[in-house]
Order: sequence, then C-alpha cells, then structure tokens
Amino acid sequence: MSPVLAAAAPQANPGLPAQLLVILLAAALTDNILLTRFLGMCSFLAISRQMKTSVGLGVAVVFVTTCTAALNYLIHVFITVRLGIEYLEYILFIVVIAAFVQLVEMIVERFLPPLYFALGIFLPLITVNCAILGVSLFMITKEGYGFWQSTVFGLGSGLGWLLAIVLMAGIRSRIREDKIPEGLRGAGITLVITGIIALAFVGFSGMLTF
Amino acid sequence: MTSRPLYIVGFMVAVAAVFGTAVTGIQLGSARVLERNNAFLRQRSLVTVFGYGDPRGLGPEGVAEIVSGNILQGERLADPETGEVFDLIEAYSGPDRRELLAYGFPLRGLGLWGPVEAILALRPDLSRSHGLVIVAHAETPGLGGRIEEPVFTAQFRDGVVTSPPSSGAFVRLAAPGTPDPDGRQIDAITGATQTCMAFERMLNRGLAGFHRAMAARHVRQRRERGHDGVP
Amino acid sequence: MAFRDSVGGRAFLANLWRENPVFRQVLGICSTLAVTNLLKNTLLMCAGLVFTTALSSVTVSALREHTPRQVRMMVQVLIIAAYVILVGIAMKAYFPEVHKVIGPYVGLIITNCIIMGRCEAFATKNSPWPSCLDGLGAGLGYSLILIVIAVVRETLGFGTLFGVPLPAADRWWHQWTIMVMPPGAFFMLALVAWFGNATVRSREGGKT
Repeated sequence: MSPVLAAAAPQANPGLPAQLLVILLAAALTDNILLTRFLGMCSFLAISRQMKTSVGLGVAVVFVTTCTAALNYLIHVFITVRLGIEYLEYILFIVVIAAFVQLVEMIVERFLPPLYFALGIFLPLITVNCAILGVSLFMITKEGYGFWQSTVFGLGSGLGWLLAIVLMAGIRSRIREDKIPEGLRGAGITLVITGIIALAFVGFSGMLTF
Repeated sequence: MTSRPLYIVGFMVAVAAVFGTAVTGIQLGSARVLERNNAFLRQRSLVTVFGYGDPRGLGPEGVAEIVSGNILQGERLADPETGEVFDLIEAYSGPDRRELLAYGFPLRGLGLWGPVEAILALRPDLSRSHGLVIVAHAETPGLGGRIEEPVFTAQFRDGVVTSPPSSGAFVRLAAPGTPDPDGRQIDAITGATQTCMAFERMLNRGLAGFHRAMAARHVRQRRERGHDGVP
Repeated sequence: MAFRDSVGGRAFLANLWRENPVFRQVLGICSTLAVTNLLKNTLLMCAGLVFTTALSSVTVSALREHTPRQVRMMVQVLIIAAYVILVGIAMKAYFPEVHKVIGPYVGLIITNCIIMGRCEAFATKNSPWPSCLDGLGAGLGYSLILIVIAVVRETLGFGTLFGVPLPAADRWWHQWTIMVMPPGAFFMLALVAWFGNATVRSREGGKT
C-alpha cells in the first residue's frame, strides 16, 4: 500500500477480518452490482421467472465470480502489471472467465449429472453475465486491494447478485396471476420492480465505507 | 466440424496470438500519441486550475508556453507527520516569475468507485482556495463524474476558506443553499453525495498534510537563509 | 434484389424495431444503460457499441467454418474483447477528453450481451456481409432506445439537453432527482419497452 492510500485507510487499521467483512457487506448490499451498476441484467430478466432456476444460476454466479476474481487478481499482479501489458487485461480476463466456466461445466457434467441437468443451459450462459467481468474490472481499480480483499469482493458481489435474483423471483411468482397491461408483461414489469428495489438499495448507500 | 482436442487447442492459441499481436501492435503504435495527449491534458489542467485563461482559446502552443514560462514545478515536500509527499507547483502571474499567483499540489485518493486525481490551487498565503481541477477519475458519468464539471469545481474559484481551522475540519460538505457562516462549505452535487463525501475526505486529509508540509518548508527556508546570513 | 429482401437487409431492418434487441429480445440492458443520464455520453457509448457489434459479427462469421463448437464462446469473447480494446485506444488517442469521462465504462461494452447474442444467433450461421448488417442493425436499434431514454432523463434530471440548458429553465423546470439516479433508468426503460411492445403487437395484430 502506498503512503497516500495508507493515510486514506480508516484511522486505526481494523485488522484483516473486519475489513473483509465490511468489503463483503458493502459489495453485497450497498454497492449491489446489479442494482447500482446495471451489471448482469440480461440473465436476471430472463431467468428470474422461476425460483428454482434463479437459485441455481445465482449459486453458480457466486461460485464463478469468487473464483475468477481470485484468478484474475493473480493474473493482474503477476502477469499484466509485471510485463506492462495492462491493455490486454480485457482479453485475458474474459478468456479466463470463459475457460473457467467451461471447466466447471465439464466437472459438473462428469461428477454431478443431476445438478448438470438441473442447471442446463444456464451454466454456459454465465460467461456472458456482465457482472462477472464487471467484478474483475472493478476489483483492480480499487487500489489497495490484496488477494483476500479481491476474492471477498468477488464473493460479496456474487452474493448481492444472488440476493437480487432471488428477491425478484419471489416477487414475480406472486404477480403471475395479476392483471398487468399486455405490453408490460415479462421484461417491462420486471424492470419496474427492479427500479423500486433499486430505490430501496439507494437507501443503503453510504452506510458502509471502506 | 472436426473436434479433435489438438485442433481445438491449436485454434484457440492461434486466435489468441493473432488478436493479441494485433492489439499489442496498435497499442505500441499509438503510444506516442497517447503520451502527447496525457502531457497536454496535464498542461491544460494546470492552465485551468490557476486561471490563466481558456485553454481552448490559447491552443496547444499557448498552453505549453504558459506552463513552461509561468509555472515552476519539481520541488517535493514531505508532510513531517505522515511522510506523505507533495509535488509543489508554484504559479506566477507572468513569465518573469516575480509575483506569486498561487501554490498548487496534486491531490490523490479514493473516490466512490476508484482513484481520483485532482490539482488544488491555494492563494499564496494558503488562506483560501484559488481553483480546483479534476485530472482523472473513475466515477459514474453523469453522477459522481460531475465532480470534474464547473458545477462542482467553480466554487473553489470563489475562494473556499482553507486556513487551518480552530476546531473541526478544513472544509465541510453541505446541500446547496445551506447557510455558510465561515466560508468553509462545499456544495454537494445532487445524486452524487457519495463521491462528494469521498472527495471531502480527500480534501481535508490533503489540506492538513499540505499545511504541515508548507510549514516545514517555511522553517527550513528560514534556517537556510539564517545560515546564509540574510535576515 | 432490393435491400430489404436480402438476408442481411432483412436482418438489419428487423433489428431496428420489429425485433429490437432491447424490448423484443431483452438483451444488453447492462453497462450502457448506466450512462444514459446524459445524452452526449450515451451517443459516444452507442457509437462504440455499434462499431463493436458490426465488426465482431463480421469476424465471427468469417471464422465460423473453422471454429470448433466447444470453444466458440471463448473465441467470440476474445474477438469482442479485441475490438473493445481498439475502441478504447482510439478514444484515448483521438478523443482524450471523452475518454476521461466515460473511459471506465468503455471496457464494459465487452459484456454487453447484444454483441455476443448477435454473434451466436446470426453470425455463426450466415456469411460476413449479412452478419455485418445484422450487427449494425442490432447496434442501431439498441442505440435508438437508449437515446430516447437519455433525452428524457437528461431533460427531467438536469434541465439540459446535450449540456445546453432548456429555454427559461429556471422559470418552470424542477429537478427530478430520480431521473439522475439508477432507478430512473429502469423506469424509463420499462416505459419504452411497454410502448415498443404495444406498437409492434398492434401492428402485427392488424396484419393478420
């Protein structure tokens, strides 16, 4: 940590576990990646129709974000910064994510066939979930983050995404029978609800600073 | 379609190599332009923050001329308490460098989403701000990103009080329209309170450190002058 | 053969409105939406997006016969990432001021699902020229919606349009802070999707 950032850190260093907890909560709640940065909207809108698939995809996203945040952090520190090729980071990060998703898919297919069939198409879809690349890109702009901070940031962001999609699936299952104007059905009403949830999350902002 | 493992791996490597090389080539090819742009952006920030005129009207040559003529850079000050280093910028009203217009120093810290870099200029007696320019930031465009717009920066041109306070912080953030008895108030941007609060923290920390560093410089200069025998 | 009867031309026109990626296919609501509270930023992001969509469609289409099925997603993201980096470098070199404002968001164009969606749905099955038109159409159709949203958000949220204050704004205009903030984008998008769906559906109903 540079002297500038050391001075920017909270007055007394609260210790790593406390800092990690704050990062986790901040990433999951106050800076929810879906509701404040619009990332991961596509699969959010498409999948949140059913609770079961929402939970499945959400858990998969948590797993992939956490692992790719860790991997990409190592790539950032040990490869791109050291060689001075930061401009290639987009390519490296996204390829790492795609490769990781493919790997997970193969492992799950091989050893946990029931889970594989339950998740179906959603597993490969994770690659195009914007939230995952977003996490990797934001993590490196947060200066002063070490390996653990970055990994926990990934975990928190994934949990925030899971929380948002589960909330939405619950709400959508309740309004299925309601009278909604024809053109607003599906994506439209989901966006309105997302807006209202996002308003609530705006209230969280500023509660945690790190 | 063939799907032998060797072919798959080979194809992937080939595609990655082709695109990687292409991107690297373009990056290296444009490196000089990028460097020139960065240098120009910095010079322009300096002209703006010290209020030498509208950089757009001056043109690149005019801007470069003012920066090399009127502005003295390179002295590094250290805050005796934290060891933080400040790059001191001295701005004079003319190329003869006789009348000191303002001091400036780069202010760095974390905004809401990422690092923010600014240059803050203070009047020669350090009592009030002379100007502010945001050099780089990673805040949301249209929200926190508006800290770089005159909406936010113009208030520093009016002279926010920056002398060491008898108690409390150097400057404080408030909603626009709040009564301001001591002149230490900064108006927040609607919808970007978080970024403004982060910036407020940066300002208070930076001002405290800069005041200490300048006091140390003053003591050192006095001592040096004493050694030289000049009263 | 008329433009609108060719494969590419048909895809181009369909993407603009009838099959619009935003309200018909619900794709790409991501990063670009975040910058829709100012029209200028929106236009710049859209320009980058249209460029990337068109060119990555062409490239994916050109490589489609050689790409093994198992790694096609990786190949696609790689191609998209390369073009997005190009957009970033071009912006840094020729529009440094613009880059200063929206730089951090340019990288997120990679994750815009529209690009990959078009690569996967159209470019892997068609030849380069129609793919290019399809990509262009999808990018422009998307931009159209975002521009509408940006116009409303900027006028209501900031009282300006393209940064120019509205006439006599201080007399009648009152700031809608919600339009500046993220929820405003969701509500606007819902309204636009409603309008789009309603008109497309009524026209289809009239035809049959």
